[in-house]
Amino acid sequence: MSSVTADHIPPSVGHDDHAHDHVPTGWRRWVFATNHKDIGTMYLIFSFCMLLEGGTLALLLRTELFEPGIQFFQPELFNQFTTMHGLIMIFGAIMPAFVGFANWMIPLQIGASDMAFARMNNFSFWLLPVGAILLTASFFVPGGANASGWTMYAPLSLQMGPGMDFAIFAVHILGASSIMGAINIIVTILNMRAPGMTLMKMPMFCWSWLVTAYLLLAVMPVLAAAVTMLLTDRHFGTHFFNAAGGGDPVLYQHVFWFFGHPEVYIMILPAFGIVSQIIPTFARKRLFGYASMVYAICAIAILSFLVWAHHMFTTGMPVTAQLFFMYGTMLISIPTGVKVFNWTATMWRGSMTFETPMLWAIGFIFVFTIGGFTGLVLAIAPIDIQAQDTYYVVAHFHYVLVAGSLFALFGAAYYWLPKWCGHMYDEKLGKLHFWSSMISFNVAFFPMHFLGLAGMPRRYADYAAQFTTFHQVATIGAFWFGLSQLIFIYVVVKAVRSTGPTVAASPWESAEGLEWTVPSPAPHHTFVTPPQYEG
Amino acid sequence: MTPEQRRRNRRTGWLLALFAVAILVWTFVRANLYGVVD
Repeated sequence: MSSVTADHIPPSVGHDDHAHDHVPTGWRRWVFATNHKDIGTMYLIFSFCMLLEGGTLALLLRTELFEPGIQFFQPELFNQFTTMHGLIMIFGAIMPAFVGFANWMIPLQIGASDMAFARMNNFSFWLLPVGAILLTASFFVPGGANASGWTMYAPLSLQMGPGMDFAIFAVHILGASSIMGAINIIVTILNMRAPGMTLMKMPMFCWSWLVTAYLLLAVMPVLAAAVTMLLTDRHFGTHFFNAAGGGDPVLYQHVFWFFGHPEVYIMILPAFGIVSQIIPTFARKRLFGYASMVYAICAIAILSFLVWAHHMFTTGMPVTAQLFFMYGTMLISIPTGVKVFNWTATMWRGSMTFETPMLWAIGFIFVFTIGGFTGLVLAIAPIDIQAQDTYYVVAHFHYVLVAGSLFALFGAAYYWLPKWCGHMYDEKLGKLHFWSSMISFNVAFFPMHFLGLAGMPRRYADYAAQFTTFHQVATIGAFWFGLSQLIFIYVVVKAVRSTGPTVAASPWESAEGLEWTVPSPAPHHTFVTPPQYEG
Repeated sequence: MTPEQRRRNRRTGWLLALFAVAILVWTFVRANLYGVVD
């Protein structure tokens, strides 16, 4: 535990202006919230609710897949579940969760009093429940929800019922929220850093979010345009993607994946930032190769714009194009490898302890790297043509998005929870949550590699009997993983409702950064007068 | 936040919003080279 307490905070750093200490109460505090901490909390609660909804859909899928044949859900409904699981997890759970952390932590880390556009921040958040309601309500319209997969490929998406329009409108709304959030984050970071905090002195979480926000700004309009074209093809007589009218369905895939691949990095770069914060704290060493970490993030972001067609090798393309996208994709492993090397080098000869956030961070490195390697395998065009749309791909992206993004999110929640609520979480239960999730995740998803290599296609409600055993293991693992998350709810509720003494400003011995200079729990208003950052 | 900082934030924000709108328009224009409008 740290010896730093609220009493020892230099007034220029942990300044809390009591003249501004008014805290709104009741429902108005949340509906009209402009405080970055309140909005961050709402983002996090919302994203966790969506995680539970998306997770429930995943468990319904796994229930159907426990045995071959159709047991519970007809294939049409099964496909609605797969589609909505993907959309809800990506746009409802993972992305808003990272924005929640950005809202809470970026102003605290750069010494700003709030986000640059506090009212727009409120609007960005309140668009989310609208989008979520549209997505969920689409199950109840004639024909049911969108069942074309989260990618919404034409021409299938042109033939769907009104559920597809709900999904298009939801994507518009969630996209608008993301663009506003991105603008807010960029302006906050560029214009509102504390005096003395140059860009190259900024915490890695802020750097990762600055680059992510630029990615969002560049690709969300592309998705908005793609789904708008779907909408006009469906209802207003255009034929962008309709071959019968002279359009090109493959064009949709190009436009979609020009958004879709950077989107993958939108969901993983903030996770890199989080891990880069946690590991130095519990290794009690400075982050190894800070500058190279920054350049690696920028390199990954730039390369992410150049590799979109590796998702489309089976659509048919010239060998030159295949080679370009194949080698381009492989290039991404270099800056990613730099990051993994630097995290490992940070731990090397460090005085390491293994509190819950550190367990999640190290777990992230192990399992994310497995996902990275299978990504390299899939980058090889001849192999991808074999593995396209099989469970190998499902295993790959769940290793990246669950074991990558979600594990980092859990690590961050445990790391910053004492700062948010002022109470330490239950360490034993935190560790139980980690180990239970880590083991069950691998039980659920590792067999999917074998299923994919054996030829099991994704998005199928039924399968040949030869796949039964691996599917049953995966289903058991999935339920175990889902139930493990109940531990997290209990741990968080217990810490938040605790009436015991509050922790010190910095509950972690070696944590660095401005966020650890304000008292725990962080007061409603912080850094009303910008602190002088000495770095 | 000082009025000057507020102005600076607003200027940067509008610039970024313009960038997003430009990309949206560009995507439609590019796709229209392929798409057929009745």
